[in-house]
Amino acid sequence: MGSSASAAAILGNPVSVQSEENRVNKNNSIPAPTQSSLERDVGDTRPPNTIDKDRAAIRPGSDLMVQVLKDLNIEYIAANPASSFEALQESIVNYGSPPNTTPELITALHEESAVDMAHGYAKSQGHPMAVMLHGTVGLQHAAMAIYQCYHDKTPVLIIVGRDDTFFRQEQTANDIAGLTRAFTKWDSQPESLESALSDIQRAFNEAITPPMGPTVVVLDTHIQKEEAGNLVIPNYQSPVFKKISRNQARKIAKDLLEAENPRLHVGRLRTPEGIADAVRLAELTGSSVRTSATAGPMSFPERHPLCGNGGKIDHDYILGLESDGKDASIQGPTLLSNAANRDLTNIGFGFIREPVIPPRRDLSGKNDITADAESSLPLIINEFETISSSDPNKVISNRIESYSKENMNTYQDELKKTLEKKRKGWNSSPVSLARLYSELWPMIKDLDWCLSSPTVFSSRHHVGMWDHNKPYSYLGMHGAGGIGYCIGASAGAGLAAKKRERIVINIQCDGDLNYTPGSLWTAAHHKLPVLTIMHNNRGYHQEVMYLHYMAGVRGRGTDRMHIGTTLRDPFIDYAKLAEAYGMNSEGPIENPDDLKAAFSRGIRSVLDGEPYLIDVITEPR
Amino acid sequence: MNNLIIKITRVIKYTVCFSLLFTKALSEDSSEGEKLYLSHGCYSCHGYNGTGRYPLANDISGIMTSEELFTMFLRLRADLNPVSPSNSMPNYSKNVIDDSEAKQIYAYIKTFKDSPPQLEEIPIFKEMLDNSNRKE
Repeated sequence: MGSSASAAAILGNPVSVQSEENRVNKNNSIPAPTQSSLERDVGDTRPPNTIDKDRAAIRPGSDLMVQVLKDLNIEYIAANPASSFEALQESIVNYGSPPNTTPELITALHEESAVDMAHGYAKSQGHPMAVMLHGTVGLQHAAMAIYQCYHDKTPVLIIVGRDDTFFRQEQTANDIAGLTRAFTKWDSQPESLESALSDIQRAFNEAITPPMGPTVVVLDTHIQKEEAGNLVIPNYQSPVFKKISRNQARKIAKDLLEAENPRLHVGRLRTPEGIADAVRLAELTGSSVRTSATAGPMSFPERHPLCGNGGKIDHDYILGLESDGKDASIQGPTLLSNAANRDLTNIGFGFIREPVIPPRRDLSGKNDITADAESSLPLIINEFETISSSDPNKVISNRIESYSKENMNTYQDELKKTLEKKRKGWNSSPVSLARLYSELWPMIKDLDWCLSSPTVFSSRHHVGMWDHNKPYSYLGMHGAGGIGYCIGASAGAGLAAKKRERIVINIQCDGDLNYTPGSLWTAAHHKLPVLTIMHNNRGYHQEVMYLHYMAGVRGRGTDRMHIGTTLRDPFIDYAKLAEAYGMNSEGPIENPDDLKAAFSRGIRSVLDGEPYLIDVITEPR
Repeated sequence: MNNLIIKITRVIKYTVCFSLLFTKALSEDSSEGEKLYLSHGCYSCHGYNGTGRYPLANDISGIMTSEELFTMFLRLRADLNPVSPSNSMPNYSKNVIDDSEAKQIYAYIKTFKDSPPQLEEIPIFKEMLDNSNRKE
C-alpha cells in the first residue's frame, strides 16, 4: 500500500493543486499549471462568446468537419497531437458550445493505443469513436491496431492528416491510405471541403455496415484550414442494412412456430438493440438459446432463463443469428466480401486473402442467408406475431417454464462443479488465477461491470462463475492476437463506461502492458473507471511452453528456455510503473489472502472515478 | 531377556538410522529436484507448487505411482517435429534429463501437498451456491 500512498501524494487533489498555483519549477522556470488551466485541459471550459470578425479565419472547414462528427454522435476522438491535423484539433477543442464535447479529445501517447481505445470503445457500445493519425508515420504506428479491428469486424472512424506542403515530405504520400488498404474496409482522400464532409459521413456508414471495420478518410491540411463561406453540410443518410426478405422471414417464423423444441444460436450482433430483439424473439417463440456472451460482446444474456439447452438435446429447429444454425443461419457478409474494394490477392493477410485458407470447421447451415441478422430480427418477430394466435400460446408458455427450470438446474449443477475446480491451489503463492477471479467476482457482481481484456492467457476463469448478461460483459479477444492491446482497449472501454456508471475490469498480462504502457496515463488523465489487475507471471508464458516443446523434440537444452521468454533479472515493478503515470496502485501481491482488501481498495477508487492498478504475482496459467 | 532387549534396541537404532539416512537422501533429492523442476520449466504447466493447470500435488496415481513410470513417461512423450506451435508436455530424452535427475524431480513433486478448504469453508463460494439456489 506504500506505493498507493506515494501515488496519492503525487496525484494530489484540486485543493493541493490550487494551493501551489504560484509554484515555480526551479529547473526550468516554467510555472506549474493553474487550476483554471487544468480545468481547461480536461475540457471543462467555455468557448469565446463572440467571434472576432477581423480574424483571418472566420468559418474554417475543420469546424464543419467537427460538426459532422457531432451529428454522427461521435463521443470521443483519440489522438497523439500532430501538425497534419492541427486545424482539426483546434476546432475540436474550441468549436461548439460547449467545445471539446462529442467529440471530446482523448490524449493518446501512441497511435497504436489510440486505435486500441477505439477498438475497446466500439465493442462496448456498438458504436464507433474516432481517431486522428499523423500522415505516413502516424498511420504506420497505428497499423497493427487497425489490422486487429479489421479482423475483429469492429467499426472505427480513422482520420489521417495529410500535409502535402513542404513541411515534412517524409510524412506525406500520394496515397497515404494505401499503407493500410488491405485491412481497412473503405478509404478516401477527398479533394474539396464538401467532399471531405460527405466522405466522413460515408466512412462512418461503411464502418457500421456489415462486415463492420475500420475506415479511413485522409484530410489535407489546406482543406481543414479552408474558409467554408456559406457551404452547407450535406444531409446525412443512414446506411442501408441488408435484411432477409419478407418471404424468408415468414418461413423462419412458421418453422419456429411449428417446432417442438426450437433453438436460437446467437453470435455477436451489432448493437444492444439487436440483443433486445433476440431476447424478444426467444421469449415470443419459447426457444432455448445458445449464447456467445462468454466469448465476446453483443450476444444473448447468459443467465436469461431461456439461455441453456433447456434439458433438450433433440432440437428440431435451430436458427443461427450471426452464428451457425442447423436449419437456417442469418449471417452478415464475411470480410472476403470486401475483396473487390481491397488488394487482397496480392497483399492479403490470413483469412482476408484469396485464395483463403478454409475455416477450421464448417459453420454453414443448410439454409444460409447472407444478411444482417440484427436488421432481420424485427421482420421475423413481426411475421411470428402475425401468424401466431393472439391468444396466449399454452404450448409455448409451458415450454418456457420447462426450459427455464431445466436451465436453472443445469446452472446450479455446473456452478458447483466449476467452483470445485477453482479450489485447487487456493492458498498457493504465487496466486492461482482461479482464486484471483473468484475473489473478484463477489465484489463486482452487483455493479455494472465490463471485462475488457482477453482472458485466454489467464485461463478464462470468469466462464461458468461470472454472469455475462450485458452486451459489454466480456469484450473478447484482440482481433488478430497482436499483443499490446489490453490496456488501450480497456481505456476505450473506460471511455464508454465513464458516463454510464459502469466499471471496467482489465486482467492485464504483464508482457502485453509493456508494449503500450502510455495508456495508463490516458486512463489517469481522463479519470477512466478502469481497475487493472496484473496477471504478472513474469514472462511470455505461451512462448515458454512452445520453446520447451521444441527443445524436447530436438532432445536438448530444455533448461535454457527462459532465455528470451521471461521477464526476470530484474523483475518489473508494475505498481511503480502505474505510479509514474499518475495512477493509484499497489503491489506486488504474493499472498492470496491479501487479494480481497486490495480489490476492495481498487474498486472503491474506480467507483470514485480514479483508475487503479494492482500488481499480483500469479501462477503461469 | 537382556539379549532380547539389546536386540530390540539394535533394531530400533538401525531403523532410526536408516530412516534418517533415507529422509536425508530424499531431502537432498527433492532439493536438487526443485532446481531441476524450475530450470526445465515443469512449473509452466504444473505450477510452482504443483497446483497449476495440470496439477501434480497429492497425485499418487498414474505416472506418479513410481519413479520408473514417471521416468518412462518423460521419455515417451511425443517427439515429432510440430507443424504448429505446441504447448503439450515436451519429450525429455536422457540427454536432457538423465535417470537420476528424473528421480530427483519425482522426489520433489512428491513433496507437493495441496489442502485447499472445502467448498463450504470458502465463504465466497458458499454465498455463490446459496444465491444460485435462491434464484429458483
